[in-house]
Amino acid sequence: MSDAASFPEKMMYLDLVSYLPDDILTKVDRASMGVGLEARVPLLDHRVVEFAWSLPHSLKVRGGDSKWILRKVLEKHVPRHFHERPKMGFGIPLGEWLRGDLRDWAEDLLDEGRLHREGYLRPEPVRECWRQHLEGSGDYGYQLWDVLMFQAWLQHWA
Amino acid sequence: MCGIAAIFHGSGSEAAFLAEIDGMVSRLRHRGPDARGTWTDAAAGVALGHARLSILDLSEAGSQPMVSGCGRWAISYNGEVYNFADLKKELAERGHAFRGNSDTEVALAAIAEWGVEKALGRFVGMFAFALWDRQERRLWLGRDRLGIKPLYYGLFGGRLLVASELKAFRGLPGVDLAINRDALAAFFRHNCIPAPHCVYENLHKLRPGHLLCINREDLDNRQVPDSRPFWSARDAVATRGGGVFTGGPEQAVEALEEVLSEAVGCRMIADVPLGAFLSGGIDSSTVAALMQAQSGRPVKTFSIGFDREGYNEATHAAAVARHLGTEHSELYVTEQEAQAVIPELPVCYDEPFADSSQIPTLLVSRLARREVTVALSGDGGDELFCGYNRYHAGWKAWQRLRSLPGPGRRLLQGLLTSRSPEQWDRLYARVEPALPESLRLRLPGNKAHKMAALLPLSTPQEVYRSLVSHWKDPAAFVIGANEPLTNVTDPAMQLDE
Repeated sequence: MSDAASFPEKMMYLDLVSYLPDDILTKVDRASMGVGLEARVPLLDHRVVEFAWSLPHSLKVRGGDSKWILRKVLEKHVPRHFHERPKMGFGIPLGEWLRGDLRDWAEDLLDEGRLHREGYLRPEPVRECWRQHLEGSGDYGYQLWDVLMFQAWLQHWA
Repeated sequence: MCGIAAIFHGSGSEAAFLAEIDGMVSRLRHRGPDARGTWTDAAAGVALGHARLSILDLSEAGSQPMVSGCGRWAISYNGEVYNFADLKKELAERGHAFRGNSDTEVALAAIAEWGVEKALGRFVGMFAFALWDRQERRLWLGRDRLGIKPLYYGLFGGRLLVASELKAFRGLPGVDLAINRDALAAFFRHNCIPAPHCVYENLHKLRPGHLLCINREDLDNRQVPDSRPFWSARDAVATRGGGVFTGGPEQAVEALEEVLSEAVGCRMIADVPLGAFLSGGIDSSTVAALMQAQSGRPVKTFSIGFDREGYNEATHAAAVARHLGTEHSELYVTEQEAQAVIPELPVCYDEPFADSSQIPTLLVSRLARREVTVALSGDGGDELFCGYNRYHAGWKAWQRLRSLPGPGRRLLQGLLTSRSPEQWDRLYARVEPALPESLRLRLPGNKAHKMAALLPLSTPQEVYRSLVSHWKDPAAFVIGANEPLTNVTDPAMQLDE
């Protein structure tokens, strides 16, 4: 490489070949096609991807701004104060839901006897995670969501 | 658009063969509710199927599977080639005649003219396809460069089965879908199953940017040849997109706007209503802004609002929409309404998938579908332009820790893990009142353990893997599993040091 990739660039590369296709694009394809909607992804035009990688990293992170160059393009159309806010992500209060409205649903899918019968996951770490999460001594919303989505999938398809 | 399926090599009566491919496609009709088509060459033992979501050329001339004008190629294809008008012009000059106005027909003519690999190199777009070459009697599978459109394939009793989603493989004679425990281990690390792995034994995802070509002899030998790349993200990164940009910051901003405007503009071509998802963040606002700049009418934009502080982006989206002058639709959902989506998730995600933003994504898709058939999204901005906190935080933490001498690192690691996260939290709770606002932490115990986990790591891949891992040791958690190599761990996928 004419210009060796820096530490954050190596992480961005790994996102490009793992997180992006396997997580983000799968999420969007199934959700949109599930309702007969075609999603198009202009930032992933390969010409944009190649151009983005031709840029020095100093144009992406600059003066404390992440995505500096993209912000500059946007600023031509939308003044800065509209998009100067902390990153929020497309999130839901999952950890809290699991302790509240979704608790019974989760309890059923995470039942120890059930996990034993199915034979895919060791019940102990699942139960321990669930216990700590309910107690509030840990926040394991993401880990539990993995188990719950697998269990719900198994229930539906197996 | 669309769902696709293929079978090669099938035997038995043509009627039974047709019924089989039709069954596969019928299970994909959500992807293409407008029409269903099948094509077989029973003598060659190949069948293609297609569920169509009509976007371009809504007439019969755009229906699939489609055979090329020369008769050599038959395709079932899911996706869009956005530069089809330019390619069509070029191909017409070379003597190709066109019946209709679909990009599928142009894609076929391009393949007939330049061959599969060269044609793909000319395509700007997203696609997954099964392509039968009647002359050489071989089947090609292809997937777009970044992996926007899905494609699964697998060998069952000497037959290759291909489809957009796993549901299509269910209930087929001779297809026993056994769960692949190794793939499950990858799932519990990444919250999804990375390509080429699949939750079922014998099935694989075609890798992004790859082509696979298979003939009858391969099937007789019960072998699927390796796929090979026609484009590689690794090369694009390693060559700096073909060369480092040498201009200054101002020129770079100009150049980026030009490239982005072109990318957005060519995606605004459709024969059906079109809009955009808008969260009010940088990426989706940029896409909406560049759409509005190229449109004579207000662009339709869509956002979902939650009645919950800290999770509601809709007010930002509405402000951006008002400024841009888009025709904005927002839907506020209660937490109960969002939770009501959960029972549908295993159907929609028919391979285990656990990124919880799947819920708002499904809700905003449903909202948009009320008015449009195509929606542009801002995905990819964080990965390309460095928007995630993990890049910065991971790097800084690692730099600080690496600057400690070896014994110091081990000492610190021992100290950090000498107490459980809960013990750290309790300890922290006692000192917190004395700390200034800027030094207060959420979940200090988790943070201490996260930092301890980074200490022994020596490469960016290891740090990356640690930061994205949900379950740190999934192979010990999934019974009977060995975690497979992925693009994060496969040495062949890494950039040269």
